[in-house]
Amino acid sequence: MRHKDYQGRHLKSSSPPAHIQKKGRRRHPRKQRFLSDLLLVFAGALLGAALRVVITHFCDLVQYSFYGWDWTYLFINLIGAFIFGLLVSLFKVRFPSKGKKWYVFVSESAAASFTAFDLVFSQISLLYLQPNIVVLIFYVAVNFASCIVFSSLGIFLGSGKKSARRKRSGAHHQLSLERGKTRLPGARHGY
Amino acid sequence: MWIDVLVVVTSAFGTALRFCQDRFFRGFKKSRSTSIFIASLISCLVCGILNAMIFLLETSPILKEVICAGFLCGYSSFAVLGTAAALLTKRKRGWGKSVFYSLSTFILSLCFYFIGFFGILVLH
Repeated sequence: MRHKDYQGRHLKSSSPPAHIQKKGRRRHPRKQRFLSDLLLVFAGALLGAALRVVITHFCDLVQYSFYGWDWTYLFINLIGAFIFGLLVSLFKVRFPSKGKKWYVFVSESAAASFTAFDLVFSQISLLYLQPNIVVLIFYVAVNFASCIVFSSLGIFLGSGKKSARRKRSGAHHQLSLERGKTRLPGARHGY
Repeated sequence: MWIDVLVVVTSAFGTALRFCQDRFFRGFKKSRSTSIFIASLISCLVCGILNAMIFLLETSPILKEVICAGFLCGYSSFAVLGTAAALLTKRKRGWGKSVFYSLSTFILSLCFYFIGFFGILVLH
């Protein structure tokens, strides 16, 4: 019987590979890592969503409402965007070799599940109740723009004082370009 | 209480689905920002349809609470979108691509929301 390696290629020797010899047939390591990441994402998302629900119940900003809108979601989105930006830059740009599991658990799932994108959009369903459409669109735009500003703030606080443009013109970047390392910090994460 | 538990669980399922979608897109050599962009459009379309159904047919608001505040909020996120836009500035193309990405996502999401919302109204 001819055995196959991880990539499905036939092995030359008739003896089974090491991962089959010990404990029978195991999962592909990449598939196993994906499943463990998925479990971490699920657990983190449970935590983030639970935190959002708790804050929605206890932090009631209806009394400060503007045109009948609930500012609680803006507050939640701003906190979530800042924390997410900060964590992504810390884990992926500043300390890329540390805490892969923590990154998946905290930033990929908990902070992402904490924020509420669609609830802001669903405020537009008040369109028929509100006479001023411009104010409604302004509300959504304020939510969107402030979230981008806060996540950018988190990223620039987390990734250090030097901006990417200054780093690129520095001696270290020129050295890394010479060595063939053309990928920059933002690109490393796949964005 | 039970609605809150449902919201939390469906939100976790939504986030897990987006994670799977990210990995799926990575398999086709597409960036994560593309995946987030598509997730935003889909979730806004579904959210618009759902809101119109609640408005017209007086569907139970529990459905909106569970799907919109739960599943769709986990599936697409302002934080992820903002971070994708901000991380794009760290790449070679700088602010231009980031601003274009974030603005196009915002405007198209709004358009998709209106398509879903008014589509159901017109069909009804």
